[in-house]
Amino acid sequence: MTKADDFDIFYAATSRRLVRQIFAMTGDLSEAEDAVQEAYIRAWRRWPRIRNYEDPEAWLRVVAYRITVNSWHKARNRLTAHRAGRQRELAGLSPDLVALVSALRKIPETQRRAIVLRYLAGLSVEEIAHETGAPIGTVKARLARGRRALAPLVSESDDSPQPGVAIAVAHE
Amino acid sequence: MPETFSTQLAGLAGYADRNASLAPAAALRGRGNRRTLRRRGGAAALLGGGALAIAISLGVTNTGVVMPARSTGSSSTESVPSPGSVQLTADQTTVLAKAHVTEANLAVLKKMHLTPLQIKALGVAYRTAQQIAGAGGSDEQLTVAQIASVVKAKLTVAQLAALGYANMTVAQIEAIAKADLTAAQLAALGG
Repeated sequence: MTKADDFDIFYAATSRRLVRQIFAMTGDLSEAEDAVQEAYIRAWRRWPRIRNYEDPEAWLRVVAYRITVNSWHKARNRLTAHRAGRQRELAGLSPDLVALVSALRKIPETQRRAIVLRYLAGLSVEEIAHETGAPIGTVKARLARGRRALAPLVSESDDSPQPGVAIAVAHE
Repeated sequence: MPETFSTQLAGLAGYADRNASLAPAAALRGRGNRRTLRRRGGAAALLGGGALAIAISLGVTNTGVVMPARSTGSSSTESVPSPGSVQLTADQTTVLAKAHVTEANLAVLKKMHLTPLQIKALGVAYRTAQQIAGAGGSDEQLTVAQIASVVKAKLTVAQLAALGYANMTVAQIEAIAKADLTAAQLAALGG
């Protein structure tokens, strides 16, 4: 198997999963797509080394996440356009998912990342600590605080979609 | 509650699956390759004359670095295929382009994770060896074992320059590295 074949198989197996996870962390699908693709470009340029990592997918997730965070920092002066883009994207989501995206955006970035890694990527607390570089206790605290902050919104939309929630999001 | 989170997040994942549009892997590889070529082209711009031509040929081969062979008698722009070898940085490429490295030695060099300082040290070693060989009419090249020993011993550029390295055996290099001699002491030894 050539290096390119190996990379292509890995890309086919992991890229969509990473887009899901980065999308859940950012709430912006196009931003997630861009970040994930950029991460794979960087991975390809170092593929002989990265392919031998214990978990190449984790490396890509970290890189893609950092790309999005950096883009947020760069986009501070373009905040209006950024928000406009997000609103357009939310239009395609069902009300309960809009509420979830909104709820995720309201919690701190570190808590959001921990929640997504735990409940979407299925990582253990120890694995999250390793990936984020935070102590295990800190990860547990982030998860607990994130769950606490999200619980009212998530449980409301879980039982019956609340129009009020969607309205609140629309005005955000 | 965790089930609720997982279920809700799975809904988001489903949305991403339905709407995400990703480029084919081949397209991303192509972008990565073009980026590498551009960066190598930037390094080549730093070099002049014949070295420039060499560096340009490096970018085209996409295998790392190609150096003119001194004693092999082969074409000076022939590439060295080395699938799986490390990618050299622009700094490393620049330093190596200034050194005198044969194709055989280069294949070994590229498999090592050399720092720019180590490569610079090797460049000094090669030039020193070339000067000595030139004076004696010999065309002897450094062996792979000697290269490995230089890398392992982590000699500095100053140490190597003072050493007059060419005729040292691997054991001698290692012994000198252990002795932690100064540049002046090494110069005395080399003389």
